[in-house]
Amino acid sequence: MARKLAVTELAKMGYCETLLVLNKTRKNGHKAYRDEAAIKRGNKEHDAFDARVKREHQPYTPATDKRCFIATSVYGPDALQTERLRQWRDNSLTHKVGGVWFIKAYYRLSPVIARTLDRHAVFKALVRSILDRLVRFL
Amino acid sequence: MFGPDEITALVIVLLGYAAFLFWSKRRRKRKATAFFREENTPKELQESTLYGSEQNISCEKPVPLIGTYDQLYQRPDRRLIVTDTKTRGKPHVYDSDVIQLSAYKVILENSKEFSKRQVANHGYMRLVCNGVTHYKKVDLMTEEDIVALYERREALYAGTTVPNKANTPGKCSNCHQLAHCGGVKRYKRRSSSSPKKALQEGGSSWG
Repeated sequence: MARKLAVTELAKMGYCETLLVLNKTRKNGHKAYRDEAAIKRGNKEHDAFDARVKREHQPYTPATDKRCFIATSVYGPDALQTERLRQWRDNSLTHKVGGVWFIKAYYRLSPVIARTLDRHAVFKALVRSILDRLVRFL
Repeated sequence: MFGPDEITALVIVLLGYAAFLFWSKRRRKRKATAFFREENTPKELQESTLYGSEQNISCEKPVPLIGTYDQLYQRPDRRLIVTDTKTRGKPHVYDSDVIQLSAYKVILENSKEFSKRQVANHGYMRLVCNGVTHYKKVDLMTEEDIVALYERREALYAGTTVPNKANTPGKCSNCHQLAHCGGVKRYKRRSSSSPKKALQEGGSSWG
C-alpha cells in the first residue's frame, strides 16, 4: 500500500517545483527558512476559531429518528423542511424537560392528525402554512 | 378532574416555557448574527450548518492522500463546502490554496466516511489579515487535475521530469535554495491565470 501524501505537501506544488525537488535532494533541504512566529500565530488562530465556530455556528447533527408524521404528511419524508423539523426535535426539544413531554404527546396524537390531513386537502394547506412559518423561524 | 385554578396555572406554566424557548432561540440567533458580522461570513456559509471542524480525513483512491480540513459546512441542499484558514499580510488566494482545498474535496468524495456525500465545486479561503477576516470564494480543481498533479510530483521526485521554476521573482528573493537554482529574474507570464487551466494546458507554465 502506497504511503499517503499529506495535502499540504501536494499544495507545495503550487509554489515552486524546483524548490520542492531541491529540498528533497540537497543536504541542506531541511534547513529551509521557517518563520516560527508566523507558524505559532497561525496555529493559535486555528485553535481559537475551531473553538468559536463550534460554539457559535449552528452545528449539524443528523436526525436519528426518522419519524415526523405531520411534516411527512405535509412535505414528504425526504423534504428539507421535514429534515429541519427533525433536527429541531433532536437538537433542541430533546434536551428540555418540556420538550420531551411535547415529543411524547406529539407521537401519540400525530398519526391520527396525519391521517386526517391525508383525507382533507384544506386542513393540509392550513397546517402547511403554519409549518412554513415555523420552519422559517427555525 | 382539574379545577379552573389548576388549568390557569398549567396554561401560565406552558406560556412561560414557550416564552423561555423563544427567548433562548432569539438569544442564540443574536449571538450568531454578531459572530457572522464580526467574521464577514459569506451568506452561503451563514445559511449552512457546521458539519465538522479540524477533522483528519484520508483516502486510498484515486491517489493516497491524507489531511486535516479546517471547517466543513453543509448547505441546506446537503452539499458540503470545505474551508481553510490562513493568516497572512494580504487577503490573496494563492495556487497552493486552490490545490489544498481541491485535494480536500477529492478526499471527501472518495473516503469511506463521506462516500455518499456531494461536495460543492467551490470552497472558501478564510484569510485573517492583521486581525480582519476575509472570506474568498475559490473554484476548485477537478479530481483529474489533482491526480495529474500527484503524478507529476511523483515524476519530479523520480527525476523523470524537469521541475519548473517559480513564476514570480518574489518567491526567489528569500529562498534558501537560490544559490543552487539561480532563481527567476522576471515574471514568467502564464498562459492561464488559474492552476486548473495551467494544468489542463500541459503544465508547461506550472510552478
